[in-house]
Amino acid sequence: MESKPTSIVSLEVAIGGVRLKNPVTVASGTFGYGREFEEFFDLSRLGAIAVKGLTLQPRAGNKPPRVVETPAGMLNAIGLENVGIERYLAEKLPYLRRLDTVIIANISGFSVDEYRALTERLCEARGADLIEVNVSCPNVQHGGMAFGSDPAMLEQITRAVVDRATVPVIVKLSPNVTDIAAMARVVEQSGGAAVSLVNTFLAMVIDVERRRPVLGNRTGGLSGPAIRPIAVRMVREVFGAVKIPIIGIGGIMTARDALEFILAGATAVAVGTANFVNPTAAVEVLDGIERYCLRHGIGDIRELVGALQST
Amino acid sequence: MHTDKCGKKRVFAPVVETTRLTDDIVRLVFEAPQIAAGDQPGQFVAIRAGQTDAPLLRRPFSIGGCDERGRIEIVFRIIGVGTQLLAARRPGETLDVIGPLGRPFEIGPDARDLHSCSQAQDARPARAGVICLVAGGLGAPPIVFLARTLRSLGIPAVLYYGVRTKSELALLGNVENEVQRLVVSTDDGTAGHRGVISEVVAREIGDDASIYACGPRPLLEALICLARERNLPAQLSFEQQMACGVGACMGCSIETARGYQRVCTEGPVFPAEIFFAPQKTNQ
Repeated sequence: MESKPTSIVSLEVAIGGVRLKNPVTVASGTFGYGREFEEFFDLSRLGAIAVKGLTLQPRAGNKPPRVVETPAGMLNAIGLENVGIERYLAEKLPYLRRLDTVIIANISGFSVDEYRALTERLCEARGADLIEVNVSCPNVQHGGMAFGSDPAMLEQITRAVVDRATVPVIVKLSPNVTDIAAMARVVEQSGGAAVSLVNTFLAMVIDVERRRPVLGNRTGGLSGPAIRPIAVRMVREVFGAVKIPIIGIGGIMTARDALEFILAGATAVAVGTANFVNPTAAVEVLDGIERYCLRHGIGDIRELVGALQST
Repeated sequence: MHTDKCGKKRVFAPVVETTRLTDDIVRLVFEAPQIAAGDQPGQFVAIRAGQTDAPLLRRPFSIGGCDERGRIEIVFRIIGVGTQLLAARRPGETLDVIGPLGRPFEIGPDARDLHSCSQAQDARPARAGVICLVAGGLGAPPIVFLARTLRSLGIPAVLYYGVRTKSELALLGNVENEVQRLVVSTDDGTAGHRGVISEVVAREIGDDASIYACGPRPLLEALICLARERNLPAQLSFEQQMACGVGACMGCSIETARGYQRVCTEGPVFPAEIFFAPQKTNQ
């Protein structure tokens, strides 16, 4: 029997007490500072926007080439190129604040002190509704992934940010670890309000004619549909290990992909590489999730979170 | 002044025509009046080659021309899976296209762009002197588009074109009628001068010329040196591996004397000056 839903689906979710009107966000680094996509759709439709990773000082980024396509995916080694926290606050934030969506500021430091300073400045300037701590960038010489794969360091950074933050703190986890659930537990125990996973997988493509790596940085982070099944598995593992909400990321191209993450245990999802392929991917994912709920008689998206059948 | 006058658009464009110009060079025409209404020479479109996750990323192509019916032309060499798929597209099929993207060629010291010139029906070039168009190989399409636009504005231009071999001159179409003079070079000497086009340009160019160029990196580098030595204004269109095409991913940056610049947003057309510096222009 076809179920005939009559009520409108509730898509609202919460991350650390912050209300998102729907569970669809965009992954940091794939959506610029938001405005780059304004000509393609109404950005206020998104549950949240995670901006390009911010550092204390502006960063020029890595030597080109910085991107290369791979089977159903791509490698990037941008190297955290960004305008720096001050220009973000002065030039990018006023536009973002005019949107009716939650702003997630993604921060990267090269020491615990830098994470602390970024958090203080961001909160004092009301630069974000949520802070996402990047301890998983595979493309920088110091910090980045090295912080996120060391439990002691992860704890120290999470505590430092949580201590100074006036908004809830999300920690973005690296998949380049043996036990991602253990890392999520560290975040939970250190006061993190949520985890987002996964960041990119450390990877390399070689140009056999030149016998050199294709990327200027030699290695890069693999993203796109190629990583999705691993990311879904990791979200499931983390869901079983912590109580804090999960933002699922990894090769989401369509609503079906997003629903895999939600069923695995993600409260929200972030569309990443798909934004490069289809600038309206995020809203198409959103519309598709709503249609799925209507088709399956789901009145509230939260019913689906972690609702993977065990048998 | 030049940017996003008509906005970037995503369009599902019917394929009008796919033609082989040589064994491995293809001309593809599609109908996208929403993009053609605002595009300018030097700008590009980003096209999805297939409909599945592989190949994943869009492919950037310089706009090779457009007509009053909103038909846009691109020309490319078949080099991989993406271009193979595009070459196999047939009339009636639909292409997923984003455009117009990037910064176009500009004429004149006051940086008036070609689009506003044509809108204003002001046919006088802002700068006196010879307009010198230079293309190498697959760099022809945007230069041909520029030549046609200049012609429609009544601005004379000389076109220098370098290719590997005679058959690749097919990329020029009937552009000979659009320029004051066409000078050709081939690597193998099968047509025109034997050798590289930059050397021909260096021999012939006057001190009142402005250079507009697109082609392989060594050609652009030779022209940067020429522009610097002879103090000539030059605008050069660059190519780089690209992901988003809209300035979000920072993936397509190239090294300049003013730091990394995104080919999709600050480019693909850059003024030669930004490469003049202690710093080298490539790795």
